[in-house]
Formats: sequence, structure tokens, C-alpha cells
Amino acid sequence: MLEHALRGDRRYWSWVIALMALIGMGTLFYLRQFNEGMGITGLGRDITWGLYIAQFTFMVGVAASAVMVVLPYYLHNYKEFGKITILGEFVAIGSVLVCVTFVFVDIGQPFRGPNIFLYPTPNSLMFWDTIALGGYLVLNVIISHITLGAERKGIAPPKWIKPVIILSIPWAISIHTVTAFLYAGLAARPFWMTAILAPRFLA
Amino acid sequence: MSVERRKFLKLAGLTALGLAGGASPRALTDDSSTIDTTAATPEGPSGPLTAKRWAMVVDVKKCQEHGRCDDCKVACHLVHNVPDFGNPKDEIKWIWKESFEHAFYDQENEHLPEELKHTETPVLCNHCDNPPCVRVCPTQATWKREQDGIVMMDWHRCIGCRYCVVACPYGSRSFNWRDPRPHIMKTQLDFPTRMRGVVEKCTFCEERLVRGELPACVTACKAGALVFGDLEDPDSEVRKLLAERFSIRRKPGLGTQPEVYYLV
Repeated sequence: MLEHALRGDRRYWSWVIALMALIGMGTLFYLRQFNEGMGITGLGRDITWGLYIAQFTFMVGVAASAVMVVLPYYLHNYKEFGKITILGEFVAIGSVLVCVTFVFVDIGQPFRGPNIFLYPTPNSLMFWDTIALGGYLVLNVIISHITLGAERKGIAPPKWIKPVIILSIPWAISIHTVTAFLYAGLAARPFWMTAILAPRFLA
Repeated sequence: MSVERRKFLKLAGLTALGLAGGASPRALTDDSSTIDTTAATPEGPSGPLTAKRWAMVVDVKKCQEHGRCDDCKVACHLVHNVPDFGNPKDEIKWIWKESFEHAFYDQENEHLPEELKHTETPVLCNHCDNPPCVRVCPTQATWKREQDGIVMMDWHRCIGCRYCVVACPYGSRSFNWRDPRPHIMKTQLDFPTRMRGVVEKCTFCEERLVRGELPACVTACKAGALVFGDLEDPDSEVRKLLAERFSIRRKPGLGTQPEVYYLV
């Protein structure tokens, strides 16, 4: 299936090369940040979380919004949406990967990241956010893999995938609410400390 | 061809999952998180200083009468290898002087005694009884010590996510925005230096307490404005001072229960 991505005309390849150039540029700047420390991003004592975390939050929203494409078909039985559900699932996968990348570049010691799993801490909401996002990624990889495979062979997807898809719908809501809880539970930040933050993130 | 690629991708994904899964159960049973720091350190002539609940009392009046000095900060930052970057953005602070209205902005009345309005008072980690930084840390790199309530920090486990910096209402936690080592005035060999990308803060000089010494800021203060002692011991000096004079704490409304008290 992957070979379809390696075929295209001139315009396709110039677009791919342009995107690759952007990615390469980002990687180079990240390597500089990695070597010199996060100070070069402009973050400091007064602004400890900045654009990286804002982008992360936004992309969590994009990932959760993929469910809006899946929901009419599976929950309301709206047949016209059948064809684009797979697209929605791939949008979710892409967005979650971007989210993880933003978190990776935002932490001071990225290679210690696995410590979140090595020392699981249920009292930290960051731990739960990792679980929610990781679970959502796994769910969508499974769902899109199965449904796309069935689509390719021109047959109906197996029955057992339906409950998994139904599970992915509340899970999509959970990734954005848990991300909101991560900010909302801080007495030190009065602006975020509001019960409406999670619904506001979803809206 | 395509089947092989699919198989490869599947295998790669499963391998990554397996690696992550295989590593975590080992960590769950690993008990190295509770390192006994008292065991390896040589004890002073009088033995280590111990308490059920360490606390500090700051006599704002004495501090102010002594005039504007920075002895506590200088002493602390020297013994703990705290770097000086020379700019406020990257600054790392364990203890520092803050104006009264900044330190107690939620308790300030319109008409305060003139001298209080213009005074500066030392602020540091409050070693809260209910520390928000400990609650949010995803790796348990910061924790409240059971035996004496000191909020500790493991610079080797910290991943640098800065959730604790965001959660601390007192600005007591500093992140190493760049490599601190070239900016240390005079490196002390008996205390570790930090690397870039980790969070650090005051530890109530736990490394000095096990040697039987008082915290560096307390020893350095010529005015005797900083008093350190056991809050659980009714005969300790901190308890006597708190019983005699009226004291306030920073942002008490947040429920963090700070253990640094200010006599006003």
C-alpha cells in the first residue's frame, strides 16, 4: 500500500521536497536547541511553557476532532460519512504524532522521557495524559489498519472492530479533557484554574 | 514487495512496543528510588541534625534593620554551585530577596507601615506540607521526605518538563535554560553541579544537615534573621518565636501549607 505514496507527478514531488526541506530545517534548529539548551527558544523564568505546549494542545484538539468525522457514521448511522472515516483516523494518527513531537522538543532532557513509564505516577496528570494520548494512537492505528485493509480488498471490515471504534469516540473526548485537566488543576495559575476549561477545550 | 514492507512495519512497531513493555515491569519492582542519603555521608562531630518537621522562621524586622544585604543568597548560591548567567530570563535562584509587596501581594493592605512597604525579604522554597510540585511531577523526581518534610529533588531523574515550575505558586523552582557549568563562579567540589534541561531548587541544605551543620543561609545571616528548627518540637526556637510573635506565610489561601514563616 505504501508504494502509492512513492508514485506521483512533478507537482507532487516538488510538494514533498518542499515539506522535507521544512522538516530538515526544523531538525537542524532543534539540534541547535538540543546542544545549547532550551534558553535559545526565548522561554525563561517568566514564560516556562510557550509555543511548544500551545501547539501541543492545539494538535490534541485536531486529533480529537477526527472523531467528529467518525461519529456521524458509527453512532448516528449516517451512511454518507462512511468513506471518509478512514481519513479521519489517519488525521488522528498524524496529529497525535505531531503532539508527541512537540512534547519531545519541549522537555529539557528528552532522552529521559521513558522515565514517565519507568516510574508511573498516578497522582500526576501528565502521566494520565500520556496514557490517554498513547492509547488513542494505538486505537487509531488498529482501526485504520483494519478498515483500510478491508476497503482495499473490497469487503466489509470484521465485526470485532466496531466496539473498538465505538471505544475510540469517548477516548477522543478524553484526550482533550485530560489535557485540559493538566492545566486546570494548578492553584498557582488562577487563569487556568476553572472547571470550564475542559468543555472549553472541546468546544 | 508491498507485503514485505507491511510485515516489516508491523514487526518494527511490535518490537518498539515490546521494548517499552519489557522495561517497565523491571522498573516497578526497582526500589532504588528511596536512596538513603544519610548512609554514605560522613557525620560531623555532633552527628546529623534531625527533626520531625524542618521549618524556617524569617524575622522580617531584623532582616530589614540590618540593611540591604545579600549574604544569604551569596552563601547559598556559592555552596550549591548555582550559576549566574547575568540576565533575569535564565536566572536560577534558590533563595533571593523580594520586595514585601511582591512576596505577599495577596496580603497587602493599602496603608502599611512605611518601613514594611519598602522592605525586602528573603524568599525560598517553602517546603510545603502539601507541595503542588510533588503532586504534578510525572516521574517522582521531586518528593516530600517522610522523615522531616523536606521537599527533595532528583536531578538525575528529572526530564525537564517544567510542570513543577508551572505548579509552584512561589517561583521557587528554576530550570536550567542553558548549560550552567561555565557560569559557576567557583565550583565547590563537595556539591554536585547540574546539567542543562533539569529543574533545581532549595533543599533546606539537607547535605549540611547530615553533617550536623545548619543551612548555609542561616549561618551566613549576620542579623540572625533566619531561624531554622523542628516545628514538631515544642521547645524548639522556631516554635517559641511563632508562639511569641505574629507570623504570616506566603499565599496561604492556596492550601499548600508553606513551612517558611515570616515574623512581621
